[in-house]
Amino acid sequence: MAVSDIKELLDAYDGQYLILDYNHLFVSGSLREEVWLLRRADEPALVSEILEAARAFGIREASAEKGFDTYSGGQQAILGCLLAMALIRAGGRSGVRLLLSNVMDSISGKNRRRLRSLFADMAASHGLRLFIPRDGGLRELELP
Amino acid sequence: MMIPPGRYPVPERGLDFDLCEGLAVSRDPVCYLVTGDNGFGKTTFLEKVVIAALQKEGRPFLYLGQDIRTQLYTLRALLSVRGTAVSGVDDTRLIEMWITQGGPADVFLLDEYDKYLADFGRLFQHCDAFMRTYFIVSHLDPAHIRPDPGKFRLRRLHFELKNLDGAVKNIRIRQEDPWPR
Repeated sequence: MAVSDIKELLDAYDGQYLILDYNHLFVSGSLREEVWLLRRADEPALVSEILEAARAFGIREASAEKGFDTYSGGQQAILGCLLAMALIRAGGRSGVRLLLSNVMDSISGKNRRRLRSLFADMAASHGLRLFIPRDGGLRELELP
Repeated sequence: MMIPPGRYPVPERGLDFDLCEGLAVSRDPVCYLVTGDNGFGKTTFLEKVVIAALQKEGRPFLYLGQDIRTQLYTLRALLSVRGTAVSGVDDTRLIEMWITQGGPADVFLLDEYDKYLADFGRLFQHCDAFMRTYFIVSHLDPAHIRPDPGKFRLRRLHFELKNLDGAVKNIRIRQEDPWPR
């Protein structure tokens, strides 16, 4: 484990991996804005899909407009993962390699197991692969 | 000092804490491992209750927050301005230098420090002569963050959802012994 430097991660892995870094999870202020920026369209159905998934993680207070900075750190990490999976599905992409930097270790054991199960579903349906920085390189996470 | 048992509402965060047992923050060495599910207010409790109590008592403390990347940039700049050479210094050493220059603090709050830097042994060793109370938030295996059990009383501070009252989460904070394995 180490404090990942986002510039170093981008220099090394941009273009090959979708990078989700705990200290830079979002580019905007709310889920609605994030989807709008990343999909270049207002997509309430996609936002609803993410919100419904978030409730299964106990994030009952989640809403399209709620500011990311009002969620706990772990909740933000979960939302970042759910958003990434929803975007991969919506874009019809397959074989995406998702690099998680200091993300999974922000999440409680119960929620981590639930999230890994969703990642495993995505691995089966969309060929998703997960990686974490380790010992100066990357390690692939095995999915159940 | 003692943070007494009782209710600690933080309405702006939609949280109402029920601290079942008082928290001793004294000269007697104690290490609290803070656990619980995401969104149950562990960080909020540290910032709004524990740190507020420490500040009220004028008790010096050190705090490493969850978003450590920004804090490390700040520490590097702070030490540099003070004339300390920090170029090429690794993050753990940087934190040690900050602790050494930080004054007489004997309370240390670490919020998910182990997701970045796993070397608790080195940290405990560095602080051995003066640190008396730790609050450590972690979602990882606590086995590697155990301070000297011969010196520290080890307590787990577990956050659990009691019930929901509209948009407010009522959170019970229980102390458990022994340290979870």
